[in-house]
Amino acid sequence: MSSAPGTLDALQHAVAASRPGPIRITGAGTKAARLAPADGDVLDLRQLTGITSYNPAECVLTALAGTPVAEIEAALAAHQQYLAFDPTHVRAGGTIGGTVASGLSGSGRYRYGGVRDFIIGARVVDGHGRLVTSGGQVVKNAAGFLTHHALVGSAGRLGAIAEVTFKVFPRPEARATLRADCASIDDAFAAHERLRAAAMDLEALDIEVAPDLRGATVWTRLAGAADALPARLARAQGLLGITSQVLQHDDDARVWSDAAECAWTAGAAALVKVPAAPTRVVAVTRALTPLGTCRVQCGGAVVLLATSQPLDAVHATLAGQGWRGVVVCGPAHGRRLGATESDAFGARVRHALDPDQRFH
Amino acid sequence: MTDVLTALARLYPPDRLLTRAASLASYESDGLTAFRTRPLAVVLAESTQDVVNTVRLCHARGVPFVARGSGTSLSGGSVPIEDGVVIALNRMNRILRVDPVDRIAVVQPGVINLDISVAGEPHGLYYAPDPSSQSVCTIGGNVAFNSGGAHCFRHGMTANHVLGLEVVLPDGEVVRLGGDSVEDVGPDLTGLFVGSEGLFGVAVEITVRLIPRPEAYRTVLASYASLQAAGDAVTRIIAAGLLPGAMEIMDRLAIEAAEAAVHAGYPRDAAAVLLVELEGEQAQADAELARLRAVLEQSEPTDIRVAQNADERALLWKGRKCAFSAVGRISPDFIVQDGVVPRTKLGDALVAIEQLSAQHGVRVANVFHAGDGNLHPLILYDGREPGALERAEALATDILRLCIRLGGSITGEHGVGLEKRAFLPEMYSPEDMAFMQRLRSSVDGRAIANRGKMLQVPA
Repeated sequence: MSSAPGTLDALQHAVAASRPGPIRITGAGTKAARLAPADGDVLDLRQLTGITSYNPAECVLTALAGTPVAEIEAALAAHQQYLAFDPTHVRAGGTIGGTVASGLSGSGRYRYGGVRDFIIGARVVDGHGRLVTSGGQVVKNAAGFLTHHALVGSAGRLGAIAEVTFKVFPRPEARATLRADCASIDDAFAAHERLRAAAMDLEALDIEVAPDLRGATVWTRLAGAADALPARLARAQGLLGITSQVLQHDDDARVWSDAAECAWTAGAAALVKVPAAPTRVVAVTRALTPLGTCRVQCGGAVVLLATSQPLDAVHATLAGQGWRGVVVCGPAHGRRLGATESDAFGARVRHALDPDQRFH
Repeated sequence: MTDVLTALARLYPPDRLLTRAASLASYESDGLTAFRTRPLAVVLAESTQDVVNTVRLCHARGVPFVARGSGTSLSGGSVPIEDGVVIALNRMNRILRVDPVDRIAVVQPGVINLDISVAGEPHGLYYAPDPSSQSVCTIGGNVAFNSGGAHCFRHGMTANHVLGLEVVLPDGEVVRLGGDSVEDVGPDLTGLFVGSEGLFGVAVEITVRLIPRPEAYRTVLASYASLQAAGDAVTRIIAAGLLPGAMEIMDRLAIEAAEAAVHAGYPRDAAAVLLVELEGEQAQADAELARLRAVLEQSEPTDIRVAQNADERALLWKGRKCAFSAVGRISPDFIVQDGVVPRTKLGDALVAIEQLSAQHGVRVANVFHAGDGNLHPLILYDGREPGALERAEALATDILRLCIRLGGSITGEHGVGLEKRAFLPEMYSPEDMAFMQRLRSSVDGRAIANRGKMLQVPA
């Protein structure tokens, strides 16, 4: 059975009425939600759409879960504001609820943070059809449990995300991108590290690794006051220490829009996010490259792997090193790979929201 | 009860298990001195194992416990529970690791907030959340109460700077949440643990993000003939697309007090001052300063001054940072209220607070984090005067209800604790409150972890 509630009431009713069977939540399907449980209900949230409130002077926006991110970005752009965590799959039609559930941020998260750093409130429907609110409409708030944080990366397993509230930022006046093609990944990582270590405020710092490590491209984005940008670009070019090309206006926008669509993953069966850190990012990248194509994001804090290999192989590689990963696109969306930890706290949180394990 | 003490005495030597009235006295209250309870015992924990052993023992016997650092909570969050155990974490004060390349620090809960930034200093790094008590408060308490500071609009709160935790759950089980990366796999349980006010257990190891110190700061003090004008200037700054690191407002009474205390050079005739600080790369900060000046000049200021060097910057901040203690010099007693309103309602809130102050016949000095709508009215009273405390408390309550009415929050950074427990149900629906109780029961079935804080004890 499938239902497509268009209101919070209808969503609550749909969840309550379908008890006690399993539920699979879907949105636009841009991150290819999990396969439906054989005997379960599908809850399609695309009708639960619309910006609930947006006051540009407050820099706060609330939207229902099924709202396309593109609609939100357009509303913000009209007031020179943006979602600074850089949502992905926007052109493809991705929804804001799916963005939170996947916990996937774009390359632009480097500057100010990811989804977890901008979500300030949410409403979620639990396994009994009850509507639970946490956080609020203000950017600073220490009242009550931060349940909305647990929804980031929850992959539809804790409850049906119904509405989310974000802090938004003023959009920078001007932006530009440096493209530096390197003959080897060692050159790319060296240039990357010189930029990362400098006292520069970069919007994004990515390395696109060629298949089989046959070279790499360092992508650097700067943003800010238009009159200060040329000097800052020149400084960044000096730090890169290798020839780089400046991309501006539409050329700049296209690079990052394509990155947000994960255009580079085309043809892969799954996209895996591997949290990393600068001191091990080279090792992570080298270890994963035989399994697919890698993109290093966020100054080395994240490695994304686009792969068509069996996920068990990815799991084995990660587990062998004590690393962890999670499938963020593909039918196994939400599956964790690699090293495991006790999930005793997570299990207790799930029990509170979904005692009958309907969303599992 | 003697049974618990006997069991504890088997675990700890007498110098690490306090049970006598004289040694328990200093643990009876915290930064909010109105609440006072004598605990059964205080355990001076020195290791994760100490915390685990104590929590297990409490869990087995259904004895409530509260973990405590420096006891600076302004919401009564670390006040002991009657017949309960205090787990003092001050001795677990080691910075275990600073990694300047990965820009993280791994610390024990008893580490002082500011000491993390001091450890990062040689590498040009610092820990961003800066509660006013940062030179004494501990990171464990910051995690429990999701502490804020003056830079939250741009930089976020404690939840945004904690990447990983090792936690002793209320039954003594130890789990790790998050890790050492800014990204995680699966639900952000680290973020959920932060701000749980001790109800989910005790954080015994904390991995925090360090961020590079900005290349340049540009600090400006603008003075105004009215509070409303200062509040409006903040709205203009945001509308102009600027993203300052901090925006702080002080009213006439707060300015007077600060000037008397530290001579920061604030204009004494101003009704309000607005302190704005830009941060970033030199070229960018200079370009923003030009824009900020243009915006401020349109905001009808009576004076604008720009700090010309680090000393002038430090002096401008000194006036703001000492405001709370300075008010102590002009009033024998005061209550620091902590409420939040949507930033665009700041003007309305200030006018309403002025009216409430007049109605109650109680003076209020206003100091606040204007960038994020976080009000800190200082409610002045003389405790020796009969009824004065009650009048001050009545005003404090009215201000909280005002924050709820305007769509804000009853606390921006101090937490709910004991002080605001009765107000949480005014901010959230009965269904939301019921969920918080379910979540708490699911994590802590015996309701022993910091029992009575944030939530009423379930019947």
